[in-house]
Amino acid sequence: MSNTEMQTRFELVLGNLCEVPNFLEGCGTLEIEVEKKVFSDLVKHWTGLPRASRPRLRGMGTSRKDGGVGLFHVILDAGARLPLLVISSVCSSSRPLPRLSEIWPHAAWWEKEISHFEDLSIEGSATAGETRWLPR
Amino acid sequence: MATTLEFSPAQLASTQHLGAFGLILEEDGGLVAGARMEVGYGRRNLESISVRLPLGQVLNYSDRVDFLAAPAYNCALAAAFERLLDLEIPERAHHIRLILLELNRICSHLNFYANLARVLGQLPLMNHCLRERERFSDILEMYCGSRLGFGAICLGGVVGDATDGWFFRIEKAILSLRDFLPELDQLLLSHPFFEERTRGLAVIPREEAERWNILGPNARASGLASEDERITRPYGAYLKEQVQPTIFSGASGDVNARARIRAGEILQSAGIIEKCFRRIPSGNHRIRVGMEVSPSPGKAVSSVEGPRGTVTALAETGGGNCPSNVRFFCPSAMAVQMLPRLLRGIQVEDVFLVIHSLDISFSEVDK
Repeated sequence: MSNTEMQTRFELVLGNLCEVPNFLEGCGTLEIEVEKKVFSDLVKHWTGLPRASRPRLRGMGTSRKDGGVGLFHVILDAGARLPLLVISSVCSSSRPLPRLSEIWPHAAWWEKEISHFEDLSIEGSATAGETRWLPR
Repeated sequence: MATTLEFSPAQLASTQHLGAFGLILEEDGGLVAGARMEVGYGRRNLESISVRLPLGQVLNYSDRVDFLAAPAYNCALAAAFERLLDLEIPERAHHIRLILLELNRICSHLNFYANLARVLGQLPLMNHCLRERERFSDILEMYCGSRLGFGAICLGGVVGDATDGWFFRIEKAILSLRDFLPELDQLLLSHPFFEERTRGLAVIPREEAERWNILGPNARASGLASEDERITRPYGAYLKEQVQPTIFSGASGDVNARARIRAGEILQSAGIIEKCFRRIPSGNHRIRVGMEVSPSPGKAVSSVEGPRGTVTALAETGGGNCPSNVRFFCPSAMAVQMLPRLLRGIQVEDVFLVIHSLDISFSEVDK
């Protein structure tokens, strides 16, 4: 896959909401750090994408820093032979994280992990413990 | 009238060889009306422990995430750390890592067949599967002195060099395995009883597999042939070996397909190892990295195709000699999420057959 093709695919995934580096070939991971607002816009963009064009969610997790503020990471797979995309955004216990299980149902597992082990809440859940768990 | 059947973690771990988890079934007229899983009984908090240890020592802990797929977690995390440290490891080390990963895949799949045979009451076949697996465990012990958590992959390469004697033992074990597979096919996979019981049982359609992020052999059995990190994003020596997708004609997504596909993968792994023997370069098996290395701040993600599917590791460092964040994303958790749906409507006697057919390792679910 050429650099231009990679660029086009990433632009579709990121919806021109953040910049894609010019040189992608040979890079193992593409890391992008965005602000909370941009991240919310990205989630809206992914919700609007048709299922076939959506990137695949490979994982999500947080890294805690001091004062209850940390980083929320989302690992996306934009397609075969493309570097994995890690999008990070600042998160804090005072503001709930976006609910990604609306777009990718399997994200419910990691949402539960985050709400239980990191004491962060997920959007749409009254409390951390009420995150949707295994489907009944 | 519906009855509730509760299986305790101790019971499932000791009698069903599944691991510590709770299973609550609603039974109605011999059929499962509802199922619920309770996980977390075997949690060891490995990700939190990892942030208190230097990089080299964390790798030993990654062995414990899944005791049946130690090299996959080891390799995924080592690759992420090496990316952070900007290390180029020798070609020979890449090839030895590939051999270890494929040997582990064979071991894990043979363990899968042993469990499946036991659930079906085929105890002689279970012993035969374990006998074959022993040969491969001996080989891994010959290499690194350990039969389960190998600790074989270290920062900068692998712990020991591969010898001709080791290669010879692998060749012999593969020969014996090739003789054994027709026996497995005759006694289990092509047996009319097995066919009758497993055809159309607990089907995961292709769309559902995609939707619930089912990975590895389970996804490939549902028709997602290219659902293999060795093909979609080759790493290390796989870049040169160019693994071909498993061509599996009966990808119907049922228990039968999930059982059959692993036999094909054992043969595929044996073929990859033999090809690797012919291409393994001479030279160093590792580059020396100090005990107290401190990579510059940053994060790296790496993924490896383990026996149960793609294992993804995320590592972050803040400038010290310990990582500031380590996360593993494991394939079994995704299968556990789907289990209650799969169990609904099947006969109660088939419950453990279906669970074993997904080859779930509760060790990696609870990590």
